Amino acid sequence: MGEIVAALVAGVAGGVPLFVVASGLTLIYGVMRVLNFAHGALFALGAFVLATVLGGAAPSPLMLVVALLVAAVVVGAVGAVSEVTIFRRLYTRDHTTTLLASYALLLTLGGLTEQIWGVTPRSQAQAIELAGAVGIGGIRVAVYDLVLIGIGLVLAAGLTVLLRRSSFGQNIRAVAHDETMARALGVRARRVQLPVFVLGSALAGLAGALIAPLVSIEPGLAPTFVVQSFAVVIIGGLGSIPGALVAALLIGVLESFAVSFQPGLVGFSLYIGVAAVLLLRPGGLLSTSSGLREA
Amino acid sequence: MRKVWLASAALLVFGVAGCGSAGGGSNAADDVIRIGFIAPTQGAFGEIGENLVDGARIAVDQANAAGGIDGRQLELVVTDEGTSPQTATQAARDLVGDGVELVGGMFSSANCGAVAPIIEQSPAVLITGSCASNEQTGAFTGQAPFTRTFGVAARDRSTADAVAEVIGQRFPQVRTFDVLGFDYKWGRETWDGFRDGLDGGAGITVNREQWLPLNTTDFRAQVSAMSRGLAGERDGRGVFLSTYGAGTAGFIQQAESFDLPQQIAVLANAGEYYNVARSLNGRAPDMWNAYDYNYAAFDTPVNQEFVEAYGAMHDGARPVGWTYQGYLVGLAYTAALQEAGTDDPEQVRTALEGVTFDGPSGPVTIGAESHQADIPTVVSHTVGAPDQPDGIDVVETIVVPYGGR
Amino acid sequence: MSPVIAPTRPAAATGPGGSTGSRLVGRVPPSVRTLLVWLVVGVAGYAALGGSTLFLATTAVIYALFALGTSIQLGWTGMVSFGQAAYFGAGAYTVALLAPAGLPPLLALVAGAGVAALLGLLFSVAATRVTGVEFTMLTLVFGQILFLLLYRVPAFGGENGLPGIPRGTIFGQSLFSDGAFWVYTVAIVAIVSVGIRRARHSSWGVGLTAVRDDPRRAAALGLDVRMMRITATGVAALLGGLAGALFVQLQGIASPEVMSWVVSGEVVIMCLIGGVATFWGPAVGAVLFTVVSWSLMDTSATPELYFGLGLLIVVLLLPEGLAGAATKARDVLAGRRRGTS
Repeated sequence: MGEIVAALVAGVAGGVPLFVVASGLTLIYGVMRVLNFAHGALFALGAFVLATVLGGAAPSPLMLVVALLVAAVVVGAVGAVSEVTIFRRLYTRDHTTTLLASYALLLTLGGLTEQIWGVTPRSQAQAIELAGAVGIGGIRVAVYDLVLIGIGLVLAAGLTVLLRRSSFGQNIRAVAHDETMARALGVRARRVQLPVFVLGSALAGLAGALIAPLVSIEPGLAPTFVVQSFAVVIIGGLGSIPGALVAALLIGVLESFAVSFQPGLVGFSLYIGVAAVLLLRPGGLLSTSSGLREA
Repeated sequence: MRKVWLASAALLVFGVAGCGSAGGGSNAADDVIRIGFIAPTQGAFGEIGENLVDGARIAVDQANAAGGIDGRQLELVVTDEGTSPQTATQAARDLVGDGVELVGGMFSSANCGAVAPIIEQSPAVLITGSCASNEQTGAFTGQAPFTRTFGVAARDRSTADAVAEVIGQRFPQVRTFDVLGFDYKWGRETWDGFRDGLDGGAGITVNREQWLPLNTTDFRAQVSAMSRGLAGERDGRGVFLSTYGAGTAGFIQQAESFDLPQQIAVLANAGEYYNVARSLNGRAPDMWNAYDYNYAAFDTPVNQEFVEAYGAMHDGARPVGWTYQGYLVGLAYTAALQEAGTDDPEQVRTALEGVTFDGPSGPVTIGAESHQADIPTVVSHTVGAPDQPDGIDVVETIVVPYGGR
Repeated sequence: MSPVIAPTRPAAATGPGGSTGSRLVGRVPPSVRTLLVWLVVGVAGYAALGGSTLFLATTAVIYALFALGTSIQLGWTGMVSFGQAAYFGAGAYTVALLAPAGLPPLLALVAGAGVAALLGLLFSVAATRVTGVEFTMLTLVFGQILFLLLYRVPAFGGENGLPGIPRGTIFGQSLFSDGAFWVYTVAIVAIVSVGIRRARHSSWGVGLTAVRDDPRRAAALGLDVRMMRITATGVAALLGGLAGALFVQLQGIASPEVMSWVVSGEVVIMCLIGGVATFWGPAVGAVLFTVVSWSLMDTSATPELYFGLGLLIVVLLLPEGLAGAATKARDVLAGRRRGTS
């Protein structure tokens, strides 16, 4: 029993960062129908920016928060530039063109990152207050994982409220549901598309910055979460924030249970889980009530 | 009008990229001896490539400073190995096609496996740098499978044997091991070697064996599972890592957030690790590692010169195993060229068989039959220390001679 | 299913030409023209190229075959797959595993293509209910599982792969030399291309396009939509396997990279660069992708950056891919000539 609870906690802690990465991806897809391959590069960029701002040394919690925001803003700005120079011109074209463009952007940003920061790996020290683990009911949990879980839940709640309650959210949903109809009703699509792209990119940057103290910051970082986050977006239901959260937690818990009870399936569990969901519920996990379109 | 602008931009981009080739063409003067060097120069393995190239460059610079080979200067022609046998073989063919027939370097074993047969069919010679030379030389069989390929890196089982031997002696009370590795041949073979090396595997308990896909960076679930049930057993427990690079760095940082290093008596791994410890900026844990090299392991003039030359290139940083391997490739060519007295590849090939030169570890001989350099393995005990060079305190090094125990 | 690939006009070559020259070309059947194109490519390559350039060209032609096969699924049927490397790799590893048996090279190719086709059929039968972007995800999952198995199952040789695969001898002629292998490759790709070309205008090929444009309407017209999708996947897998088998014979080694999702992504990108609206688009895209990415790698420290920038400009400039742009240019030229004559 203790083992099950511990595996569950570890799985949730692993799933939440995945949710943060995937939330930006699902938002952009939901509104613009752009499956943004460059998301991985934006994620890596977030980690590089954070490590540059903090210089690798252990920050105070306040400095960490500042650096996280800087990373989100910088990557959001890169997203803004990409939207205005590239994607804005392609919304009217078919989806394969935007796919190609986002692949090109992935390569470009990857190359730029390498040109700026080089190929030598770097690391970012954790804030002393957030290092180490605490015992909760006999289970050891990393303090930073608790922080990540908190941030993830706040983000999920915030994004849901933004989409469902605010007038901006209403416009987003209108454009996501039917751009032509939204335009006819007086919603200016561009006023929605640019902010959504910036928000989605900023979320990617924030995710990279959040993960930075736990990984090696180097050119190989960009593709590491790509497959998982695409899986989260698709099994969660495209454009659905709650769906992405459920899917990310499911993937995290599945992997954690594999580690504890079926070590032979470690690494395979993600794919087996995704295949099972897609074959049994082709529309995604929350297919009846999910997605920006239906929300 | 916008399209015209974009078209000119496209031309400019490809033009700028193309300019590099014009400069690096094959307009070599006759009095220069060119050594082709293949290494991954960009992307996730770019750091490895940079180190290999730096090592070879130091050897070439030293040879040139000493007057070259019969007055002829050496020139290093660096080509990107890429990330697959396809790019590596293309790189090798390009070099040979350009008349560069003394070739060295290479990182990935699969790429070496693809390139060695191509070199075999050509007039060229290859000295592999970083690939564990189990398959391309006669490291184990004694008889080289290729007549034109030589290897300077250690056999991969040597590293596992060496670290097992040292851990067995220093930590006899550690009888329970957890292993975490990438699910690939090298990772599993290294662990098998380590386990068998500890008293032939007798009396060792394996707590958790965890194999993850290559390039995994999230180890939360594994670290959490490992840390469970460790309480109070510190002195009897060890962890063996069969990961590398970003995997090792990620595991260490995530393990630290679970206080894992404080709960075990020994953390060990095999393969290049110094670069990982360096990237941790003085926060590296107590680690026992075995690989071909540690800068503090050898008290020879050649090593001193090598370390100084590298430090001069990189703000006092220390060379790593890959730099050392690149350096050995350069030294082997210099020695063989001197012995052959010509850069004719066939004569250089013959000279390489049985050549002896002074390496950082002392005299090195490339086996006439095996084509394998007899370099020792170094077990290093390191711990992060912000005030030390590269943020690493090298507590102790143990040199295990070639041939193992 | 929302059509991921937008409806495009039918293959360009069927339209009547405007000038005398293109009218003459128009009278030659498409399959003969296809054969002629490869004949010219083969002879020109043999005569003009040598050494490592010929080797690169051979690689490019093999990728062209891979892309042509993929376009049957991607362009004709509108199914975006990110798992094509599974078939390429299946062909590659089949040849590598059969190498000790000493099969004749052509028989090895048949085996490689057959295993890949079988995999493709099994997969598509299992995935038959899944469409759209969910289908894409499922192909990625399928490819990744096979990729991980290459490391897990010892017989596949892990990261070192299976080296030392001989090219063999065909009709008493050794394929050892790069020139001989070039002729062998181009001949096979030419014959297969003619087959693809003929299939394009067969009832099956037209049916696939109908399924792509409007599956419900296609079903109403009496087409078995499920069967059309399964066969499209099967044929794409067969050709992917054939390309993988050729690739291994060329390289002499099968290594896990051939099955990675990077390769799956790249073949889709090759198709899109060239444009899936025309028959030759994917092949042109594949050749360009291979040659340009190699020459950038050879000459630049950050090839990714230049490749990405170049591709961005191509995307913004030529939304229908390079071949699409070529067709458009030809139409414009033809129209102008018609106007003046």
